Amino acid sequence: MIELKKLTKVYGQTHALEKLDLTIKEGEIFGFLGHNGAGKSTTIKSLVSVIEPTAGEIVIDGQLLTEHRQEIKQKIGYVPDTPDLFLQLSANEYWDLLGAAYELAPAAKKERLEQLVDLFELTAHQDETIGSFSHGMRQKVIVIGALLSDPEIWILDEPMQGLDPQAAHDLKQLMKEHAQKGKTVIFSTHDLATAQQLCDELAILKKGQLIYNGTLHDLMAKYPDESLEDIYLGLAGRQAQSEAGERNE
Amino acid sequence: MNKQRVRELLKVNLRYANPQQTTQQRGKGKIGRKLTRSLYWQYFYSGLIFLLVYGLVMGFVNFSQLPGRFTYYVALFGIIAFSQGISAIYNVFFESNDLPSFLPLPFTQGEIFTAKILIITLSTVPLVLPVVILFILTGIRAQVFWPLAIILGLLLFVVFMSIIFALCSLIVFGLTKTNFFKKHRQLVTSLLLIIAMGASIVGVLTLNQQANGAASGVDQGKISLLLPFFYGITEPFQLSGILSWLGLLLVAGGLLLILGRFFIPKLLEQLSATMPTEQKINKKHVAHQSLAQILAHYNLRLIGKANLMLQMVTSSVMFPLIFAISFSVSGDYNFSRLGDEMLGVTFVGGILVSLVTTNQSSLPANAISLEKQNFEFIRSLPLEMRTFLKAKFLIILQVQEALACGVIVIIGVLLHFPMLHLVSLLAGSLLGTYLSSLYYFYRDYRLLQLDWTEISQLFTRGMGKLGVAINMFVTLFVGALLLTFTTIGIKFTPLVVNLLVGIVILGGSIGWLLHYRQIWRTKLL
Repeated sequence: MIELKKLTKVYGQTHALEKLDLTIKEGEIFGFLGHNGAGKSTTIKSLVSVIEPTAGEIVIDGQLLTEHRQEIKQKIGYVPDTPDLFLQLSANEYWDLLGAAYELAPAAKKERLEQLVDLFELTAHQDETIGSFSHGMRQKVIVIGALLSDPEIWILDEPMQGLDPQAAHDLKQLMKEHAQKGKTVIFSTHDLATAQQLCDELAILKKGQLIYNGTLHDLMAKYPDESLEDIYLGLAGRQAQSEAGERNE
Repeated sequence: MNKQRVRELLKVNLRYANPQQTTQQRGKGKIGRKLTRSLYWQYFYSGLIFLLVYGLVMGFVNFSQLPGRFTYYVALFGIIAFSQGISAIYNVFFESNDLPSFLPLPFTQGEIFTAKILIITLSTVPLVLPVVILFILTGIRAQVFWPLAIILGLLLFVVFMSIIFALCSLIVFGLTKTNFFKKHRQLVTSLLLIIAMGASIVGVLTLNQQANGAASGVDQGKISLLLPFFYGITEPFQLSGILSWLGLLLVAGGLLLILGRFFIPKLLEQLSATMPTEQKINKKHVAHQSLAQILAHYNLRLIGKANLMLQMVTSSVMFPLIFAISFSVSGDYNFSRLGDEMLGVTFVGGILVSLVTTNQSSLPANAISLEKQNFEFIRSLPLEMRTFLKAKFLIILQVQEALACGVIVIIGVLLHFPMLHLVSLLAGSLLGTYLSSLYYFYRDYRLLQLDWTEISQLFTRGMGKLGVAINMFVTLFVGALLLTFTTIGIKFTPLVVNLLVGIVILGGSIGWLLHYRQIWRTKLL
């Protein structure tokens, strides 16, 4: 279980996150929705230790992140919001680095890598440098790296970006299977259809504040006559034209 | 600390520290272990070359009788290690900006930093390996039992490197901790790298000066601060030697302790705080600018990155300045009595200097490739490519001309050129810079590379490193020949030779301009 307690991040005068309280349970796919600058990436980057929150706590499986960083990092596979990482390395070299970081046994790594590389159709490109790849191929390399150690928690920041429909479909399948095994998938997206397809629970953020947290089912039930798009726009920002008047009343 | 993880991190850092070599080796089909091995070998080769060159020179000198010269060499290699160390530590820790990529991964802070420190050591040690030979040879010549001399020499080298590494780290980590650095990152980066480069130039120049008198067997003034190294290796069991060892160990230990206690534990925090991704840069918007003004500002900002600018400026000014300072220090070159009949020769000299300052690594030769992916995007805009390139060329030309003029003024002052000749040198340099900028700007367009990750990849396009060396050699050699023949000719028939040189330069320049005018019309589209 992942608990965010009064998580706050301030950059100068800007409050990127404001006392965010959230609980993410095992076995669910948890989605972050929100406009640009809403705080999705800040929350995710705090979870994966890329940024240090200004205040608040992150507790994962009962352990405080600041006190058990190494153990917790071993449990997490992370896909950042940009795949432009380690461009000088070949795909294989990048996966070697991750294999060493997660202390994977060579045989297990090889087996898992073969499956993933085959699934994402990168077999012919493993020794090419990441810098020479298209955006979509870079994203595949990073996704494979994140899933290589079969970590308990997947944290994916806009993972479908740049992926071709086949790869996006396969990744969604993998996310579902992972959650079905009782493990956790956290992801952020701008794509409401993807959220609708995948999320067991979601959080909608607006200017660093949590404006909705619950299941998709509950959210849809609250506004039975509206599409997810209209509900989302109504909550997060400008409203859909047809509904704007009604909601304001 | 997990060795396997450190090894993998070292592999990654090795590739990042040698992007050009990595790309070349990959081009030859080397991957995985073979690639890693070839990258390690290049450090070995450079260490071997330094060892051979300076080791041979040192082999002929009995340093045990020349403490002054011993301390001089220790100081010299200390300066080289110091300048290399400063730039390596800064680049590897602060300029690489790779921390966000490592932070989510389960590497410990110790593992990440160990790999970084190892790569800094690898890139610094080969340059100062001759110091090991110096220590060992001095010990043997001082009648210290040779296996002991080897062990003591190696230990002394470790102490020497520890002191320099600790000093460099304290300077870099200390400076980057200040609020001034956080506010003026680019300025501090430039200052740091310029100081490091300046120190290395001074070191190389002093080495050249000293090498001339190396065989004379006469000692020079001792640098007392470095005498403990001398006594530590020549009299290890006498009181002076023991005290020297104690002093050196205390200094090294003390510095490392300060580093370990006050800087390393908070380094991760410090690095995270200085990551440029967290800095918001607000540029004041200037409304109602013309396209030419917008492009001029854009181009200036594009080349304005401190590190990038420094590398290009260095490549332009380094060689002419080193030569000028060397000639000036030696005292053999003083042009204060040049007659007016030599004005043509100084004009040609100005052109030749400009051919050295405007080279493959200078601004005009890389300005278009600096655009990276912007270039393809700009192509898609309803903007005439020629207009865009012309605006870029004009800005780059102004910067390059300013640089070339600066170099000429320094040369003129150092070598005491009369005012009229200085003006002639300047005129030659202005013309030469313009003509060679035309060539290199189009060369960049011909060899356009937009997917570079490390600026040095651009510098060796075309014929590579060999091409750069050949070009430099041919320019200097042919230039020297031309100047010599013109000077001799002028002694006999000044009017005819000056006229002839004038006609050749004028004709050549017009032909060159017409040729590039045609290229701008037909190819730069």
